[in-house]
Amino acid sequence: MSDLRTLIDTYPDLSCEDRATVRARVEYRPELSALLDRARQLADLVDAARAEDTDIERAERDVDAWLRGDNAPEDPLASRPFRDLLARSSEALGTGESSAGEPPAGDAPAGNAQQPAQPSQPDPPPVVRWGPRLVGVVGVAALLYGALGIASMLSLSERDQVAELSDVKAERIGEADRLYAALDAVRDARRSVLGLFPRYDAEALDATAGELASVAGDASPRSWQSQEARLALGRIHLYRQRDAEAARVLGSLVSDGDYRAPVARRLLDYIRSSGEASASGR
Amino acid sequence: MHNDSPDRFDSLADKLPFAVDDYDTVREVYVRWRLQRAASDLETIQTWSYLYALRYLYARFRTERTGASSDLDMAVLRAVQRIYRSLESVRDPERFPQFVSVICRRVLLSHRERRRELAEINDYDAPVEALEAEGYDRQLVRHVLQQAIERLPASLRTIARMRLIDECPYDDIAEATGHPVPTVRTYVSRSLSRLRQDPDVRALYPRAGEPPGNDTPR
Repeated sequence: MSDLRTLIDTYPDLSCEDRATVRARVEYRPELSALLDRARQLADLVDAARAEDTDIERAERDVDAWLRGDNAPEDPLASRPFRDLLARSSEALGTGESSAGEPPAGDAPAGNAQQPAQPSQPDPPPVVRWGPRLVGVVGVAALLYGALGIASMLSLSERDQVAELSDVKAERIGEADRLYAALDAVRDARRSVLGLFPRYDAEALDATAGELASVAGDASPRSWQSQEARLALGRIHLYRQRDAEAARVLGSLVSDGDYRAPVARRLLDYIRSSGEASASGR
Repeated sequence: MHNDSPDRFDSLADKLPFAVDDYDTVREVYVRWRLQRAASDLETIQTWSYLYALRYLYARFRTERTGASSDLDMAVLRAVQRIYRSLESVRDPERFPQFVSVICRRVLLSHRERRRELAEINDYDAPVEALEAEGYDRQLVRHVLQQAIERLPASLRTIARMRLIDECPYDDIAEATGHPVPTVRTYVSRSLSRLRQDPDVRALYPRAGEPPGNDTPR
């Protein structure tokens, strides 16, 4: 074999056997290893560009076809990830109850219009047939729903995620109708589309905050009602970017040192760190 | 940075005015956004980035059966978050598609590594061997290499294309171009040397000496 440097220069164009020989020879010439590394990177690219059509490229073309709105691939159920996506989206979108294959009501052929009505018989259980086209449609829906889910997650600010108003709830463990109603009002203030892109109505939240403050004020400070009300109130203040008020309410929970103190401390830590971050950013 | 309006995502595919593999267009849009900061360009870039990551990772997860759908979701999310975080600071805007592909590839390789560690604990979960160990996006690689070859001097261009892309034997190239085989070999070597220096090609792999995940200036 000729000069090793020359061989390294042409490494991407060598056969597998010759490449292995070059690598073995470079082990005894460590000063050439960086040169070989660069040659190997280019070789990887050349190999990738040369390779025959693979399953990966076919899968990419399937995705392209879905995005263009073309027909679904012939056998989309061949892969486990896709099947999982399909099942999950069916659950999320309610498509598992599809009545595919059955004509819609009132869509009978015209030739049957004058025939006497047949005695009614119990309907057989509907047979759900997942034809390739329907599977494709659901597959597209699955992809788009997954896309929307991720976009939804990404649309949430860090503050929204920390405040986690969706977690505002209390088990019905005693007589506390005002508290339960206020916590339910937080849940009712949530606005979303298909469970995605959650937002909270500011007016409704502020009204609920007033009620929660009242509930907390009327209850004994160490009671569970007071703690739940103050924690929910702190979350609302945090979500509404009223950090000083949130810190005051959550600080009182931490001082009490009761069962809601750890959560309150975590939220307080966030308020402090975000305050420091914005101060240093000025 | 993130879009927060639900109706803007009602159909992601409709929001992208070009095909996912139209790398030249997305590069133009990204360069324009860096200069002019139009919200519509940002939306297009975000949509393309998401669809690119989804397409890249889905195709490999499906083929390699390398994880559950939740793993795929998390991988896509991880890639998209990294891309979105870096949109303001890509060092080389002209090579934005390569930048995105490098991030997606790293996410894939990182996932494979974790998966391999799990498989050692439970052999039943052993994934199917990866078809393409390096995880390069072959469409993008082919596109970039072909463009780089087109930029070579005319004397090298045809020979490089025939040898490096079409894998023609040296004898056939010699016959087609009228050059003796030793000359063809020399031209191939020169072509490789130039391709190694080509910035578009180099952008397809991490810079030497940089650890994974460190290609984003902060």
